[in-house]
Amino acid sequence: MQIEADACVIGTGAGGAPVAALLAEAGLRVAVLEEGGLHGPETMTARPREMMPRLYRDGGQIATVGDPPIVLPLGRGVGGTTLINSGTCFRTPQRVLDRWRADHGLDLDLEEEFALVEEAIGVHEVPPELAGRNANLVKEGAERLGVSAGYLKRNARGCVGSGVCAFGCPTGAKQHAGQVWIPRAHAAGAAIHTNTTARRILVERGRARGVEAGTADGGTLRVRAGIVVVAAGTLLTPLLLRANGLGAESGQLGRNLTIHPASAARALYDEPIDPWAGVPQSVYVDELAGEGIMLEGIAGPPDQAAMSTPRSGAEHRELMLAARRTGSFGVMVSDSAYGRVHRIARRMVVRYDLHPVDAERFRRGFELLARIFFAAGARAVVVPIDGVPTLRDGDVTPLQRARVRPRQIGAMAFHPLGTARAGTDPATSVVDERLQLHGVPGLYVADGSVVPSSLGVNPQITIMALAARLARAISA
Amino acid sequence: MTARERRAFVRVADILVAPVAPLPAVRDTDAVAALERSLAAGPRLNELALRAGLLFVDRRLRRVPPAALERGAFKPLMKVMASLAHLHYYGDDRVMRLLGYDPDAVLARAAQVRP
Repeated sequence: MQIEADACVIGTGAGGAPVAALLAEAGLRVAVLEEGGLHGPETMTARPREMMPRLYRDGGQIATVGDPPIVLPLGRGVGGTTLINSGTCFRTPQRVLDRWRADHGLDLDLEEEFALVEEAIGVHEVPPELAGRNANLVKEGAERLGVSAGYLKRNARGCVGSGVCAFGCPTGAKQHAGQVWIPRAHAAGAAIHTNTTARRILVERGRARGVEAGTADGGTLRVRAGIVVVAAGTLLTPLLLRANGLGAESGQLGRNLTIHPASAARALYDEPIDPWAGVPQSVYVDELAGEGIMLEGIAGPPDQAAMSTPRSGAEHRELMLAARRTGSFGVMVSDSAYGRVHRIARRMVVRYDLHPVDAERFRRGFELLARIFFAAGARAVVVPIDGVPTLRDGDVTPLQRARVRPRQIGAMAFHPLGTARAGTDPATSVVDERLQLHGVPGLYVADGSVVPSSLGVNPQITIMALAARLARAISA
Repeated sequence: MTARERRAFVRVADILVAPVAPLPAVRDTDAVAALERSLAAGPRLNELALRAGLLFVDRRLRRVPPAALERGAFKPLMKVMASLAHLHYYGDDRVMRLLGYDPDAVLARAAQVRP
């Protein structure tokens, strides 16, 4: 089957979906290709174990190869990873934009785009009554210590605090990319092809000319379009480009991967706090943000908690039996290391080693978090660092004294960025400041892969703003 | 999974979860069926590696205590096995309700406000 369009967008996540919507609304004929399916809120079950195989790429089993191995969950479906993120919204920090200008020649003023996407996806601060006791205790503890903290901004309308943002919002309150931008694209005339996997990017006489994709029934869909926007995500975009012999000239394709390594500590309280009630990621602590350390809420139902609770056997069981009284909160660090994504024997391999500097950042972050937990009334704190015993009675000395190596840390990561980074110099970047592939007119990239460095904050607003900027540039 | 692999998972999970009353034994939950669904959702290579790892850990745990495996070279493998056991055991509806979480109540409330 062959169709004609002005623009073909590959992917419906934080990058692809806004591009598709804004191009369609500007009057372009847009075809959107999405490898996954459509998952409406009525199909969500509030059961993490059940939803992971449905909503997560590879059933949530993607992990880095390195020291330590780090689980890297990605979404798969209309909305991409925004389907399973926590909804947290931060604008790109000014210090990061300044660094991009200095290091990569990117002179970006994104104020208009920030406003546009925040309006579109309903960004507002979490009200205290929806934040959940787990997060409110951390905020109270931080206030008692004089530590900077606040309620996060997130994209939700009509949220009732179901507590399962990362496993599919059952109310439809989370305004993820598939909930907001794709319906807008469709309403403006875009054709959305789900369960359709882009395989070939068609380039003729040096210009993008379309995309060839495989459909679920084994057929082939060919989209002829003079504008192609690759938004398959930070891990898949470089693999797709490389498989088509594109973007490799600088030697940077697939490299410069940052992931925001993250982890979570547990706190045992005297009273029930029901950590699964309320918005899981509703409070932040930015006291150490200048050092590349952010504390953000993380919580969920028992299976999610069990999977990420340190310890095993009887000690783990006792923590789980006290699940209603057990709080949790996360530590996320800005990367000092860079990883790489490539393909070996047709399999995606993500190589990443946690930098020792970041291991120390985790120790610092957990030390602050433990103090906050104790100030909030916790009896005991468990940190996911091998060799550090359970902290009790407000004593954080074992954590202070620990010399933490990367392999001791149990980490996950949620924000892969940088594998097709933007920059003005074709020798050191993959796309230019308009996000067009160097040397290939009509071929653009709009996802986390173009973000040139670790942000230190959740990236969805940055990615959407860059995508909106691209759409405006194309349709101008 | 083969019958042998299913039995191996139950034994390994019983050690790593260590359920005592009021928690049900692993064999009395739907953990094995859920694990099979998870493995089917992942890449074939992962599935084969995890199934082989499961049999290996099962054999080793018959000879040495888990603490011995959780140190040294087998630590990463034991962490993976622990995550599998914990996720699939504690995701059983009966277990979640015992711990105080009712997913159906969440869904009922969501259905009331869903547009």
